[in-house]
Amino acid sequence: MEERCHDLIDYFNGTLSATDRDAFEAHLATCDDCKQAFQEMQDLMLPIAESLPERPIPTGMKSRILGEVLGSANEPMKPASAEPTRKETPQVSELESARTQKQKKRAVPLGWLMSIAAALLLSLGANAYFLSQDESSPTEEFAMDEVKGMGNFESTASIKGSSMIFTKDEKEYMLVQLKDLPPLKEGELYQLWTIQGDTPRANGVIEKDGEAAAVFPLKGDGTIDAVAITVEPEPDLEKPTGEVVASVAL
Amino acid sequence: MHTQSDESLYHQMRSGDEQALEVLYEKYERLLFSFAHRFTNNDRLSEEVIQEVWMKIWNGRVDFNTDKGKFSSWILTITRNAALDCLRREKRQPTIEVEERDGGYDEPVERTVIQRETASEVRDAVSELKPDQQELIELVYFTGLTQQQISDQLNLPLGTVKTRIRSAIQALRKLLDGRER
Repeated sequence: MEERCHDLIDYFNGTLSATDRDAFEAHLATCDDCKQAFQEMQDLMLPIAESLPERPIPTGMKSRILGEVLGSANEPMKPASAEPTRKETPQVSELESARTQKQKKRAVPLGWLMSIAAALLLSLGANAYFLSQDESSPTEEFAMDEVKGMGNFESTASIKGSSMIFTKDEKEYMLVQLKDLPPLKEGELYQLWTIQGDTPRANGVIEKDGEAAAVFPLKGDGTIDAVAITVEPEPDLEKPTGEVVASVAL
Repeated sequence: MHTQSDESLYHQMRSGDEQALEVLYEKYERLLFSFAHRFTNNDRLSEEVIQEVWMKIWNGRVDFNTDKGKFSSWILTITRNAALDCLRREKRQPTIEVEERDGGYDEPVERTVIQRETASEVRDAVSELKPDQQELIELVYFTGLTQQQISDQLNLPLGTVKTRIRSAIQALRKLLDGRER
């Protein structure tokens, strides 16, 4: 057995350095024994995978993944001559909701947003709970029951962020995480509004600029169509008085 | 459309056909999720792994051709690599039990008869292997340990590890082939 033959397992497991990997691939082309052994390992992958106990699929996984994939920056390479072959009658399906998500240009990593939600829920009480933004977000399992909608804010004031509506123990909550909130003047605050149809309802206040992440229990019932943010002189007014500086359709 | 081969769906998808992507995704959703879960033991991480796999495929960062064997083996290899990367990132050991999220799940879909038979046949075949061979299969496929680490763990010379792994794989292959006949 040649010295290189010892690298087979590490090659299979992707633990070789780039140099060793290239060297092993060159070796693989000439060593029939390694080639055959590698093929045998590959061929068993399908039966082994099929033998595993089936895990239940998290609700909405397909829509989330296809939304992310279709919304990802790089479109697949399209051959210049070949038109994409499409079905004449595409099914209205989760692909549609994935496309909708794509249109919202969702760029915030889902896992990160959810892990914020996880951290917040650990001690979520009746009031809003604020969290300082921390890239090394906790990895506790999140305990929300259902995600009812999420999306990225579109802003006229360069505010970035996203919002998620979710349920937990039959109560509804809104998670927002924002950054680049412009500085506020003395006495001003950022008011969050949930919007149902054309009706806004004051639902949470952020009294700081820069970055903020918070969960607010949702007021009222029914489906939230959008979340908007205005700058207001007082919290929880009947109607917004300031311009909408950011909004997200859910 | 569902009767199209994976290979032809793949090529359609690579030319930008979102419908083909969806069909392939659906076809492999359960298999890849269960497979990824075997490594991560965690729903969220498994979902991230699968997302990473489809991102890579859709964006052409990995490329399939028939020289690489069957599409199913290829996509499982991509998934396995992504899962092992994920484990290394998370610095988790795959054997550690992680509490599952208390989230909702899709309604389970009945596996086809063929899938059920395959599953039980492979499980039976694995159980017929000698215990040390079962352990080697587990170590090679699901832990991502290096050959040196396996050698240390089993207290075997480095060269012997590869030979033993190979015979475990061949023994399993033989048992499976015996069942197919």
